[in-house]
Amino acid sequence: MKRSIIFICMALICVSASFAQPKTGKGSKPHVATKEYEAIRKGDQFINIMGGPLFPMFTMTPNGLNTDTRMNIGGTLNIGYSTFLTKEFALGGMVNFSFNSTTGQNIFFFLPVYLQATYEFSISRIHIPVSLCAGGAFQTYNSFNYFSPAVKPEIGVFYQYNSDWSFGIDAGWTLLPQWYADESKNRVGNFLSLTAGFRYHF
Amino acid sequence: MRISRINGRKNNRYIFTLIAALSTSVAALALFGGCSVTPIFATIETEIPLATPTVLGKISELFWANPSASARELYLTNGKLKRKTATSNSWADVPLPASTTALRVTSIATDTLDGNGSLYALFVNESDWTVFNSIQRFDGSAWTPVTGIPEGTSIGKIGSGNGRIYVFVKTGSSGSKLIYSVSTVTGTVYDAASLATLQPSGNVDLPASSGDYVVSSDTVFHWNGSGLTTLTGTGNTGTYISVTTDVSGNPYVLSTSGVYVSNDAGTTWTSHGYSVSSPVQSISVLDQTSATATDFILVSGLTGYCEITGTVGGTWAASSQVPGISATSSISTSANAQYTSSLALYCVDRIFGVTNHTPSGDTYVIYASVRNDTFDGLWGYYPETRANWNRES
Repeated sequence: MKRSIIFICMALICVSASFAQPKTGKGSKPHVATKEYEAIRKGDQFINIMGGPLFPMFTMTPNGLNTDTRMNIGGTLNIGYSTFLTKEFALGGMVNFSFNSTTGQNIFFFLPVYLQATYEFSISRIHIPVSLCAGGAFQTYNSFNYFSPAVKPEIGVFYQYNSDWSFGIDAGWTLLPQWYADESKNRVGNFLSLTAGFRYHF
Repeated sequence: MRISRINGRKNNRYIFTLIAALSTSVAALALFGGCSVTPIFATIETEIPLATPTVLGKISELFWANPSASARELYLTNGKLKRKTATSNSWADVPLPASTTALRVTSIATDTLDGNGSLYALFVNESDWTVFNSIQRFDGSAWTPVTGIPEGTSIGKIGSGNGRIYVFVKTGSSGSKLIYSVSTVTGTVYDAASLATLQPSGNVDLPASSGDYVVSSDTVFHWNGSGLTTLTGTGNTGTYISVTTDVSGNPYVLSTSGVYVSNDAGTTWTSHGYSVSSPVQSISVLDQTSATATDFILVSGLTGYCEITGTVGGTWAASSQVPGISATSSISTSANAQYTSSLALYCVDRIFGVTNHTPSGDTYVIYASVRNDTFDGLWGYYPETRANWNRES
């Protein structure tokens, strides 16, 4: 676990560093006041931290859907970073710390690391980000580990409180496949996350 | 590609972002590589709600006895004494003898191989769990103290025998380990004659006895009708852990190097490998009694247990298998995944194969004493009435 934490920190630092841009210097343009208010400008960046319950919905099996996942409602904590390439489109990364307890009193934990693409609708101070996250997820259950691709479409609603902060809610659907040599054991986990949190813009 | 239309230094930074993200994924794969072959979601699907446990702690012994000479009953000790009667499949406390000080049971023993023997218990003071109080025999409702034990005798343990029980008397120490001498009780009379001296036995729960056999860490002893003689030729290259016997009295000796079986009172031995996480803990023989059914030697370890297939009094497989891995197993193949998500995760410090399980109606039941901060105590598997591993309630 210690190794995982170090790895995540390094990954976030790496992503952040690649986006770092100087605000002053010889090459920077002088500040020009504009009359038109723009909710989002190209180059805007934000970090977001969201948390909330995680619902195991069903698993897709070779024999159809199985709604009896034997997992209980768990929780998830999402930490992300994005920058706007245009006024509507943002690209970034996100890490989720997610867990569900199980019927037999064990814990299923998974840690997806996503590349996140977001298209954001803006209506005054209301922002509606629609995202698609794709990446890989480290999964562990007792002493068993697995790493697989992971996909997570998301939609949220945020209120821009001021130029630095916005607050909102978000719903995401995580698809978590597990494929094995014994195909009868193949499963695709489906999880619904409902989270609330904030964005810090800079 | 949209990114390629963005000019200048930012374009490079976005590409770096992509590279960073991809590198992150690759690094994660490298760091967390070595995926388990155990299917996670498919295993979770087999989990069951755990029962509220009623038998906690370490269960040091569990066996059939017939102290009232009217019906076999299943007894165990976890510091207290509990039993299942022929008509009740729940564990009930057996009242301990009246005493001026509160008592606890450190070990129990029986004096026959067929499950119809007497029941003996070794009592210590509850206040310290160490100071010897008495050995007493139970007749189904009352306790009778064993007589003839000299004042000041420090008895560490009693063990089951065949026509007698063994008494292990602490006589000294070597370093931090105890040295025992072996005496016996027949009926309710203690015989102080020392039959053998057992040297320190490491960290395992020795000395151990069953039927006509006693083991220390380096020696197997055999009751020859009047005393204990040393057996050689087991082929053991490790440290002895425990011993059990089948209904015919054949010994099955567990060692750190294997399981050693003799069908001729210790004259010749066969060795059998096992595969269970070290340190290995205990051994039991599951004799299905039916001539056509496969029997099992069960060996428990740091995580779960394994089984050696064969026939009591006949031959046994050279190596062990995981429970439920094949149709010939102590548990069903459909219970294998549930075993994987439960008992296989915990230290099983004792395992007990119990045949003709009258209280539940099963042909046999496997009990396991689990040592775990959260899930400790007695677990059971009932092949016909509850084919999964769960805590005893």
